Amino acid sequence: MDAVQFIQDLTTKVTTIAWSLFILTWSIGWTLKGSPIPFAKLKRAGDSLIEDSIWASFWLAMGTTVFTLVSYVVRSVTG
Amino acid sequence: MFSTDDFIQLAFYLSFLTYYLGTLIYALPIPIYSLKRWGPNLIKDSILTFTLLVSIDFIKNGIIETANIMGSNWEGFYSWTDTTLDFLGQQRLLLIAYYTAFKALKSLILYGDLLGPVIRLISYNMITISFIRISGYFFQSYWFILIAMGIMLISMPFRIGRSAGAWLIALSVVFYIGLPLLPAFAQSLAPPMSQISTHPNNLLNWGISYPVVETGFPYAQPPNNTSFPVEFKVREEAGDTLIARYVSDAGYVDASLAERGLPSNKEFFVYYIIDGISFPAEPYPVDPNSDYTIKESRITLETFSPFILWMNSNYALLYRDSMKIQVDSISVRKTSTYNYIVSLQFHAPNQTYIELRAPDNTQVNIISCDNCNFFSNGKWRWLGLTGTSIRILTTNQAKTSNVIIQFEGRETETPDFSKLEYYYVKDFLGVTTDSIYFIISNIFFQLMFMPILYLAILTLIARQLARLLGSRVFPYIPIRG
Repeated sequence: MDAVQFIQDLTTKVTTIAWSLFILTWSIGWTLKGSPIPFAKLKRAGDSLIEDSIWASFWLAMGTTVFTLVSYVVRSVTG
Repeated sequence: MFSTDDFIQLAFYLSFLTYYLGTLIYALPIPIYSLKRWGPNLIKDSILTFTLLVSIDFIKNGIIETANIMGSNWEGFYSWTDTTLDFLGQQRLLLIAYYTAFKALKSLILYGDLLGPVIRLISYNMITISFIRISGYFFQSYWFILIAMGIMLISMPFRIGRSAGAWLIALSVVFYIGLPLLPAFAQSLAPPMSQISTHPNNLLNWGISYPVVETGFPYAQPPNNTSFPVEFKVREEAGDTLIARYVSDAGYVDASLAERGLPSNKEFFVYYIIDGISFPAEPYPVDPNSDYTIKESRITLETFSPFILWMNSNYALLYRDSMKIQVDSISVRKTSTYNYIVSLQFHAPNQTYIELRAPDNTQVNIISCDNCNFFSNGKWRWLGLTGTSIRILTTNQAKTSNVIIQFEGRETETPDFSKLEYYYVKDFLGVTTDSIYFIISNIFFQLMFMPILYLAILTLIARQLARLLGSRVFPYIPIRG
């Protein structure tokens, strides 16, 4: 396995983990937010987790789109 | 072996990895700010490197175009380094010749001790120029691969290679554009180049020493206020070659001045020139290895002419034409400032003679001439002086001849010795040692100080550029603390 292959595999794994973490964080966030525990601090942590997970999913989607687009354009240009 | 494309490809994938690591950290369900801030940082880094990678051809063309606009010319650069190395090599060879020439005798103290470090410095200078040349070759050949490698390093996650990558990019950009401009910088901001000009082989063959040459006569010392030219010659296959002519003053020729000197490796002959006649002087020839002595802490060469029997400060002169003439005794009585009575007893074989020469303002009376006769030998002319000459011959070679001569003179003009001197070091070897250190200083200034200064300037520019590339220039990406 060469370096490029290794990095590609690693990237795929990281992406998969990142998407999974997004779901997890989003779920934990909503769980905290919707939990019947009247602690404001806990609810704010839930908010924070939801927001971060949304941003993370945004950057993930954005990155994948842009990288795919660029790869497509480059491949089209270079043939 | 990696190529530019390999580095670029690797950089692309590392950039993707960094980006997704950023999003992963962003998505972590752990609300710790110090950990979470890596998320946007990694995303920013990835965007930076991705932008760099996408625009790498633009960057490449931009750098080449900038180099063209600045007037970078690699051909000129290599030509300059080659010429400079040749030049320094010649100068080094010459200085080694100098060093060897000086080292042959004790004159090492005068110049040789200083030349040793100078030769080493020239060697260092050559190493510096060679280093610059190799650096030039390196940056000209590999500048783009260095940029690709730099971007690859910057692309690594968690900013592991960010500083190193920024340095590589900055160095290659700055040196690729700036290094070919070094000759223009070194030449335009320095005084015109001068060089030591002589043939090193001459120096090595002949050598240089700085003796004081004593001049004298075995029978009567000349008056201290009499000057006369002394010629130094070597015997070549066809005739003699004049290597130096100095004026003896008060019994000494001072050849110890920088531009004068005498050979230290080769035998030579000494001649005194008086009243237009050239008299060989002992030792004949002079062997520098054995005839130079240290006298009162100076290198001294003692010479004398056995032909000259007597002379005074008026250039009245008594000499024998052959060493076969045996001088039994000579006595000189000074009756007043320019009046002398010289009494001479000698044995002479036939066909030899003793000659006296006196300038026009000196009256010569031969008071007595036992077992000899004399006749006038006409006029002579020498460096503005004119006079008469008288030859004395023996009548019976088996007997002692005895002659008493009276000289009555007035103060005479000194012959014109100006423009007569011919310096061994300056005129024969063709070097002006006085200017050696000026020339060497000039060489160091232009070929050592200026290139190093220029390299320092380029390095400082590269450092600032590296800082710029390594700094956080991207906008803030929101993160919840």
